[in-house]
Amino acid sequence: MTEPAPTASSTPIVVAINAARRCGETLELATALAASIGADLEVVFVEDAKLLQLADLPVTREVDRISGTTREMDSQRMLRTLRCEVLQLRRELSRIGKTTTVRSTVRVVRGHYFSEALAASASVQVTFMHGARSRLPGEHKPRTPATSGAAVGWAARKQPLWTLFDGSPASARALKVAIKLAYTLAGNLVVLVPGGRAEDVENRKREAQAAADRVDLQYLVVAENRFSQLGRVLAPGAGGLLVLARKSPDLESSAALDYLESLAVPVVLVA
Amino acid sequence: MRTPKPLPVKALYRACDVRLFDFETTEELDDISAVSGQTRAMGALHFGLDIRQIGFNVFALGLPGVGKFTAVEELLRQVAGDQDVAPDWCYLHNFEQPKQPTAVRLPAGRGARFRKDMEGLVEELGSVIPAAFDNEDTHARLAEIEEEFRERRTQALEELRQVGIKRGIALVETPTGFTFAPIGEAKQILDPTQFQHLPEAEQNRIQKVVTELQESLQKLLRQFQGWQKESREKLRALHREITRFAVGHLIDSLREDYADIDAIQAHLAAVEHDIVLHVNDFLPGAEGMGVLNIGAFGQPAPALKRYSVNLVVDNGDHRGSPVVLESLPNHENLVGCVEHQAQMGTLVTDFTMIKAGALHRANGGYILLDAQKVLMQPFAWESLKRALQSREIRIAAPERSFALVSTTSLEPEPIPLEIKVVLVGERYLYYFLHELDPDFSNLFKVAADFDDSVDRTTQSQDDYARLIATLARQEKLKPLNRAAVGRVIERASRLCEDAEKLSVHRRDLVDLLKEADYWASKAKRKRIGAKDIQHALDQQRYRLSRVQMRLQEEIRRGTMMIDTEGESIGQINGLSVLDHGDLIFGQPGRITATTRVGDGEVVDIERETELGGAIHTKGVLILSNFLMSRYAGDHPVSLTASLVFEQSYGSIDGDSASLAELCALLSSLAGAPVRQTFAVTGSINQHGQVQAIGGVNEKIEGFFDVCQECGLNGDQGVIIPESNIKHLMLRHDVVQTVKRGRFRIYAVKTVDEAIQLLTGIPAGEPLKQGGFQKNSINARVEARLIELSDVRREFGAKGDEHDKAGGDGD
Repeated sequence: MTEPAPTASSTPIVVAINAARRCGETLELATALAASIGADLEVVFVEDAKLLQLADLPVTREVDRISGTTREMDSQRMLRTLRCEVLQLRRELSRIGKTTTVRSTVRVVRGHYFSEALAASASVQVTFMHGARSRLPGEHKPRTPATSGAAVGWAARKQPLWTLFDGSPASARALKVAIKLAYTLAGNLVVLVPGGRAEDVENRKREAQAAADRVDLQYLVVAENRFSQLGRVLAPGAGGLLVLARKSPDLESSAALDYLESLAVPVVLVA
Repeated sequence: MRTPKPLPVKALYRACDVRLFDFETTEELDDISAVSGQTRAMGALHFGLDIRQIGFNVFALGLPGVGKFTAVEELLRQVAGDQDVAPDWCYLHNFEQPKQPTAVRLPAGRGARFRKDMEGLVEELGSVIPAAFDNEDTHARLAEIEEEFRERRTQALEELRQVGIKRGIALVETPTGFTFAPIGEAKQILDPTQFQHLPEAEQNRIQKVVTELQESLQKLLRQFQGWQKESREKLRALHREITRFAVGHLIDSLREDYADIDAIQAHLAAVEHDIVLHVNDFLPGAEGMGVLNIGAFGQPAPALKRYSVNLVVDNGDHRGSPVVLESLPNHENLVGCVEHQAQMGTLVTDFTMIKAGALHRANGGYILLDAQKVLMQPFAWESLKRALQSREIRIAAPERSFALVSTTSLEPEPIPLEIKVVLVGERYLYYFLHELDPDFSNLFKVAADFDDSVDRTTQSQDDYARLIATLARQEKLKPLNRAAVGRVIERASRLCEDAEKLSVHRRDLVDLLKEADYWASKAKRKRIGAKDIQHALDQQRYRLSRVQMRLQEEIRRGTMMIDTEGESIGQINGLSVLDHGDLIFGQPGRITATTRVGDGEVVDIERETELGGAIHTKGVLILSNFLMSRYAGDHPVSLTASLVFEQSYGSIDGDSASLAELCALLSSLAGAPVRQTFAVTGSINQHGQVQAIGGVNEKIEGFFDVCQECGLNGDQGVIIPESNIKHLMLRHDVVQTVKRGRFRIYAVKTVDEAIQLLTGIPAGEPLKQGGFQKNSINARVEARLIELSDVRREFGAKGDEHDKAGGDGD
C-alpha cells in the first residue's frame, strides 16, 4: 500500500478533552495523525461548568465509579480533581513528546463540552472530539499509550474508520484525512455514500477511490437522511472513528449538538 | 648325602616349540573368543545371566587386565541380541500433581513417535486455536456477550437516570464517578442559591430522593459485578466451546493412534482438558503468543512445555535388549537426576529436565559396571542397591535427603526395574563386600571367578596364538610370525612365574604387541618377528631400570657390600625382590650371623628394629626351632645368635631368606666359611626341608646381573628350592651364560644340601649312636653348641661359688 501524501496542516490538530469523560483513545488517535503529518497538538481541556455548580449543593455526594463508595462533594475538591486531571494530561503529553516529534499545548476552558469543541474547531483544520458515550460504572479510565502503540492498538482492535463523502469539497477534505488516518492506523476505511441515483453513487465511489490511490475502501450507501442512518450505523458498540466535514449543513444547524451527543464514537471534524 | 648338580639348561627355560604351529603368521589364524579358557567363569556368567530370580546378579572377579570386561561384554551382547527389545520410557507432565511427573511405558520406537506427535499437536494448536478465535463468527459471538453486558449496564443506568428525572433529580457524570443533583423546571441543575431558596420540605425531599438514588446506584454497581462475573463465565464457556471444537479432532486422531496404551489415553484426556482451560496460552496477547509461542533456542515457550514429552529411554533403534556400560557410575549417572535452571537468581525445574540414568537405559536388559568405581562414587553403591532391592528406579537427589538444599524439585514417578547387573572387580573387593555388606550376598548371588592363568599345553598354546592373532587384528597391528608368537607365549609363562602356565593378562599382552608393532615398523618389517618382541621387552625393562642400575652400580663400586668371590664365615648372599611399579627385579643382600654364649635365643635384628614383618619373624622362629631340635635335643642350648640383613634400611618381609639365614647361622657355629660366589633363596620348615618361594626368576636374574657387573668367574650361581624348578623361565642372557658354563643354578631339597654346596664340606649324616658324621658341618655345629653349653655351665658354676663366697662374707 502506497503511503498517501501527507495532508498539510498549517494549524495544529485540536483535541477536545471532556474532563468528565476523558477518553485516552481520542488523544491517541490525534497524536498518531499529528505525528504522521508533522502537525502540533492543541489540547482543549473542557471543564463542565455545571460540575462546579452542583458540587456545592448540600445534597450531592459522589459515588465512585469503580468501588461504589460515596464521598462528600464541594467545589474545592472538584477543582482539585480537575487540576489533577489536567496535570495527568500534561504528563501523558510529555510522555508522548519523548517518543514522538509531536509538540503539544494544553488550554483549559470551562463550559459545555461540545459547544467548546465546536468553537475550537472553527479556527483549525482538524479537530478530534470524544464520542458521547458515558463511561459506565466499573470501567477504568484507559491510559494513553505512546504513538507507536496507537496504530498497533487500533489495528489489533480491528476498529473501522468511517467518513461521509457526498462529493462536496468539504467532504473530499474529510475523506483525505480519513484516508491518511486509515493508513496511519492500519484500519479499514468505510466510506458512507448518501444514496440517490445509482449513477451518482457510483461517481462518488470512483472519486473516493481516486483520492485513496491504492488504499482499499469499503462503501456503505446511506439514505439521504444521514443523521438517522449514522445513528444506526454508529450505534453504541459499533466502535471506530467518524471523520466528518466541519462545513456541513448538519453541523451548522441548531441540532448540531444533539447530533454529536448522539454519536458514541470519537469524531474528527475537518475544516 | 647327594651333592646337588647344576640344573641343566633345559630346566631353566621352557621354550615354545614353534614347529608345532601349523601357521606361518597370525594372519592365517581365526579369531578366538575373549572368553576362551575361562570355563568356570563363563559357566557362572551364563548361569547368572540366564536365571531370572531376584538377587542373581553377577560379580565377575579376577585380577585386573585378564579381560573380564571384554569377556563379560562379549557375552552380554551375544545373550542380549537374541532377546526382545526393551520398551521406551517417557516422563509426562502430571496435570493434577505437577511436582510428580508421570512415567509412561511405550513399546520400543513409539516413544519417539509420541514425542513428535505431541510437538506436532502443539505446533498445530498454535495456528488452529488462534484461527478458531480470529474469525467473524467468533468475534460476533464474543462481541455479543460483551455487548449484552454493556447493554444491561447501560439500560440499568438509564433506568436509574429516568427514575431520577421523574423525581426531579439528574444523574451527572464526574471525572471520578457519578453524582445526583436536583433540577429545575427547565431541566437545569439548580445552583446552591436556588437550592437554598427552596422550601425546607422540598430540600428534605430532594435530600431523601438523592440518598435513595445513591443507594440504588451503589446497589447497581454491586449488581454490575455479578453481571460482569456472568459475562466472564459466558466468555469462558464460549472459549471452551471453541477450543474444544478446534482441539477435539486433533486429540481424537492421537487417541486412535495410541488406543492400545491406557496411560497415553489418560494423558491425552488431561491435555485436552488443560488446553481448554488455558486456551489463552495459544492466543496472541500479553499472556499467550499463539503461533509465535516459541521460547529461546527453538524450545517451546514455558507455558506450553507441559505438553512436551520427555523421552528418557528411546530403544527405537535398538536390536535386542539393552547392554549398557557406564564408565562413570556416580549417583546421577546411575539413577538419573532432576536438573535445574537458573532463572532470575532462582533454580527452577520441570519434568522436561528429568535426566535418565544408566539404569533407565539398561532397564529390561543388562548393565556392566566397574565395582571399584561404583564404590568410590558417593551414594552410588547405596543407590544401586536401593534400586535392586525395591526393583524400581526412583530419582531422588541425595543432597535433598541430607537437607543440604531447599530448592524446589520434583518427585518423578518411579519406574519399575527389571535388570541384570554385572559388577566387575578385583577379588579383594568381592571378599570385602561379602564380609562388610550384608546386602551384597543377597543382591549378587553369582560369582564369576576369572583365572589369571591357564595350563600350558599344546592346545592352550594354539589358542593363545589365536588370541594373539585376534588382538593384533582388533588393534590393527602387523601380523606376527610364529617365532614371535612363540616368544610371546614364553613371555606369558614368565608373567605368571610358571613354565607350566600361561598368563591370560590381556592388557600386558596388548601393550607388548603394540610396542613390538612399533619396533617392527621402525625396522620397516611387514610382520612382527621374535626380535621385535624381544626388543620391546628389553626396551620396557630398560625404560624402568634406573633404580636397578643404580643399585648394581653401588654394588660394583663397593658402596653396597656384596661379595661375589671368596669365602666368609657367617656371611651369605640372600636374595630379595623389589617391586617398583611395573618393574620387579631381584636384588642380592648380605645376611650375616653371629653366635656366642647365651640363653638359647636367636635375635632377629630386623624384628627388634621393627623392620621385619610377621612372615619374616615366623621364618626366623622356624629356623631357631630347627636348630634347637636338631642339635640340642638332649642338652640345654646356651647360644645367643643374631641375624641381620646388612645395609637394609627398609621393611623386610617374607620367609624366602630363612634358608640363607640358617646357612649363615650354621656357618657361624661350624666356623665353616661360606662361598660368596653363591646367592641363596628358599624357605625352610622345622625339619630342614627347603620350600618354594616366589619371584625365583627375578632373584636369579638379580644375582646374575650383579655377578655380570662385577665379573663372571664361572663359579657363581644361585641355590633355589627344588620345588621352584617348574617356575623357571629365565632371561635369555642368563640361560646362555649357564649354557656356556659361566653361571649355575642349583636346586636343593634340604638345608644340608644347601650348606654342603655353600661350604664344600659334607653336611653330615646323623649317626645311629647319635651325633653326626665326623668333620661334617652338622658335627661341628653340634660340637660348638655343646661347647657353648659347657662354657655356660662352667661360668654358671663359677658364679655360684662367687655368690656363695660372697654370702659367707656377709
